[in-house]
Formats: sequence, C-alpha cells, structure tokens
Amino acid sequence: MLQELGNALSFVLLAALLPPLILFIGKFFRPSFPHEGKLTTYECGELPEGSAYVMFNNRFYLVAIVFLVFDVEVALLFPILMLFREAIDIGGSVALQVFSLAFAFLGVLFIGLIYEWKTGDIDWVKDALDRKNVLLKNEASQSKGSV
Amino acid sequence: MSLAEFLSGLNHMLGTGLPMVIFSVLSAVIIILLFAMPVGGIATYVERKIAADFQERIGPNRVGPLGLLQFLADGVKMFLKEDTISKNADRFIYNFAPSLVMAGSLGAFAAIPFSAYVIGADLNIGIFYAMALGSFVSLGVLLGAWSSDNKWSLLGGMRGAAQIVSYEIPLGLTVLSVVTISGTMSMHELVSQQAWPSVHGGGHFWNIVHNPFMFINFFIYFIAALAECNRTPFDLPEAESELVSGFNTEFSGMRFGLYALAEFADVILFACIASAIFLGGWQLPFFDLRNLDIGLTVGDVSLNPLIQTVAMMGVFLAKVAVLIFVVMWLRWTLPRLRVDQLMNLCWKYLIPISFFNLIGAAIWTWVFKGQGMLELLGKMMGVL
Repeated sequence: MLQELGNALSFVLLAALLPPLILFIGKFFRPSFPHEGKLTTYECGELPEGSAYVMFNNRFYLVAIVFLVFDVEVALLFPILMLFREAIDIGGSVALQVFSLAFAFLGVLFIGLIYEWKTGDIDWVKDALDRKNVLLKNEASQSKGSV
Repeated sequence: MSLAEFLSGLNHMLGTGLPMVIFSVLSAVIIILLFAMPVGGIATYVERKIAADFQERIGPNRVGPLGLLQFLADGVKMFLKEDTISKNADRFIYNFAPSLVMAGSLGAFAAIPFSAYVIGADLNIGIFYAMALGSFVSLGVLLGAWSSDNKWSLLGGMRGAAQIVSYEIPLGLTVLSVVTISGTMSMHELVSQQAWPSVHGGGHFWNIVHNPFMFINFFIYFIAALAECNRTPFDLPEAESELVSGFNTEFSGMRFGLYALAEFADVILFACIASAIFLGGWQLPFFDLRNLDIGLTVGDVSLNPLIQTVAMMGVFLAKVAVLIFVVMWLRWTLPRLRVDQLMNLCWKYLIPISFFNLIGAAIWTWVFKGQGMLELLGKMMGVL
C-alpha cells in the first residue's frame, strides 16, 4: 500500500509542478513589455475604483459553515458504510448496529438541514424572501380586517 | 496491479535494476502528460466542433486536417503570449493558485481504472482520494480569483466557491451510496464487482442498474459533477455575459491556458469517475473481458493481458467519450441558472433526494444481501 501511496504522491507532485515549470520555460520565449496602463486592474477600460478587497455578503460564510458540517459528516460516514456489506455477511445484529449508527448520525444532520431550510439560512436571497413574507402577512391581516 | 508495478515488471524482464521511484514517476508522466493533457486539449477542439455543428457553423478547419491540430496552435499561441500580472495582485497566491487547480484535477487521475491492469495507483481508498483531490479545484479557483484584486474575479470566485462546496455534498452522498452497495473504496474492486452476473460468480452488473435508487443517483451525480466542473448550465463562476470572464479575468496567456486545461481535465476526470463507479468502467454486458482469449503468443508469453487491456481501455474510453459528449451537448441546450436557483436546486432538491437514495440503497443491500436487480431477475427466471 505504501508503494501505491507513493504512486499517488508522484501524480500530485507532477501535476502541481507542471504550471511553474511551463511558466518558467515560457519565460525565455514570451515577450515582456510592462507598462503602467497594462499593469492596472481590468475594470472594463475605466480607471479601477478602489480595491476589490471589500466587505462581502456573509451569505457565502453561512453556506461555507453548512458545507463544512455536511462534508465532515460524509467523510466520517465513508468508513462506516464501507463496512456495511461485511456487517450483513456477518449476520445477526451487526448490520443493524452499523445501519443505526450511520443513519442516526445522518438523521441528526438532516434535522439540522430542515431547521436551516425553515429559518431561511440556505436561501440565497434571504432579504427578498423576508420582504415577501412581510408583504404576505400584511395582505393576510388586511384581508382579515376587511372580513 | 498499478501501472508502476507493470513497468517495473518490464524492468525485471530486461534485467535493469532501476529503483521503484522512477517507475511511479514514469507512470504519472504517462497518464498525465500522454493521456490527461492531450485529451484535455483535444476536448477543446471537439467542443468547438460540436458547438459549430449545433449552430450550423463550420468551426475550426484551418490547422491540420479538419482543423484537428487547432488545440496545438492554441497552446503555442498561449505559450508565447506576454504574461501580465496586475500590480495590485497578491503575487505569491496568484502564482500558487494554478498549481492547486492542476494538482486537484490532474492528480486525481491516479485513481482512474483504465483497465484491470492499468491504474495509476491502486489505492484501497481510491474513490475517496479522487473526491478529496477534486475539492482542491475550488480552493484554487477561489485563491486565484481573490489574489488578482479584481471585482469581477472576486464575484466569480466567491460564486465558484459557494457552488462547488454546495454541490460537493450531493456528489459525496451519491458516491457514498456506491460505497455502501459495494463495500469497498478501491476503484479496481468497484469496477471488478460490476461484471455481468453468471453462473460462475460474476458480479452484480453496472451499479446504475443495481437498484432503482442507484439509477436516480447516477443522474444526481452527473448534475453535481457538472456543477463541480463549472460547466453550463452551472457556469456562474465564469458567466461571460455578466462577469467578463469570472474568476480568471486577470489571468493572461499561459496562466489562463492552465486554468482552461484544468477545467477540461476536470470534466474528463468526472466523466471517468462516473463511468467507473456507475457505468461499469471497462465491463461489458454478457461478456467478461477478463476471460477474453485469442490464443496469440510470443514465444512462451501469452499476449492475452495486452489484448485484454486494449479492449478494456477501448470500452472504458468509449463510455467516457459518450459522457463528455453529453456534457458538451447540454452546454448548447440549457440556459445558465440564476445563483439562487442554483442554491435551491442543490440544497432543497439534490441533497434530500440523494439522502433518501442513500437510505434506500442501504436497505436494498441489506434486504437482498448485496445482490443487484439483474442477479435477482436471473435467479427468478432460473438462469443463475
């Protein structure tokens, strides 16, 4: 197995070293005429307005957190469910143990997903949705008033 | 048996005592430089030709016969272009990002089983390794976008990161269901199990027809893989019509070329994984290619393994080519999704469906002791 891991490592290293290598060799062939205008950031031909490192919508942050939880869970489930076939072959209650272990784990996460769904954390445009809900609520209260 | 072992076997036959390291590097060179990169290049040509056909144009036809050498001309052109780096760019990360993208998409080719005898690294966690490296790509896209200090890039990169991390979950769950029904993570084992069921053992046939849940899971895998590769209808990180060129706006010349190559390599990688874990890799219906015997020999050595390898690689690459064609076909069929539709599709449809399919596949495996639909049918009809 160590040999196979070595093979895999040689793939990763070769792939990672290719870009610097190609760019280094290219250095001797390509022209290089840097110019003040050429080196500015591209902004549709206008002079760039400020830096791009601005405060950014934290939607991305929430999605990343939800992803992290799910991905860790998938990674942890791989070894458990890989043994499921073996557990079935052993027979008895072993398969039930593996199954309930894996899916109790997954079930808790799924409840979490439903919670995030309900609170709107996985909606990309939460503000617009909130506004829509407020509008709907107003409409409902108005119609109730008219009745 | 991995390619490096095969090569070192030749070494023993020839009587030269080279260390094993050389052969593992050589196998990486063969698969990456002689397979992944040229095929990635040819894919750009094929894509342009297919696009031209769909739009009733001619497409590239000047360089070489039928324009076949167009990708080489493009490569030379990009190689000779000036490399401009904007003065505000974070140079260290900017230089480092293409390496990450390439390591993610080309490095994962180590786990692809091209035939029963040709595999870069026969890892016992093969499919897990391929998935893990695949997520390097999103990191490279985000770093490249962030480091170029460009607003278009930042928007594209952020979209790309959100999209790729979201779609990794349905992707992971579908792969998990394959692992559940097979009980192994080794790519070689996964493909070997998908043999045509026969009286003398055999397997449960292609995973896509193992049970109804796996059939749905294949399509979920395919959709998620499209999003992972930033292909239309999920090409929001690039979105030419709104974000100029998205995450690679500031990348010029060969740097852009490397990103483009990595993207195509990613498409090929996911097509390879899909055909290996769902469509049976090099397995054919009705016949097990491992039993192919044409009786040719050179001296005392049978040529069967060689012939089998050629046949298996042909079958495997044919499946991959069909999948890549479908990917290109979709690009000219479906319009781009909006970013909130993209998130809804992933979190509210694909994840719950793949979750229930995982439970379904596990219960099927439990009830039928790991047998597929075809095996059960054969037993019912008394053939097996």
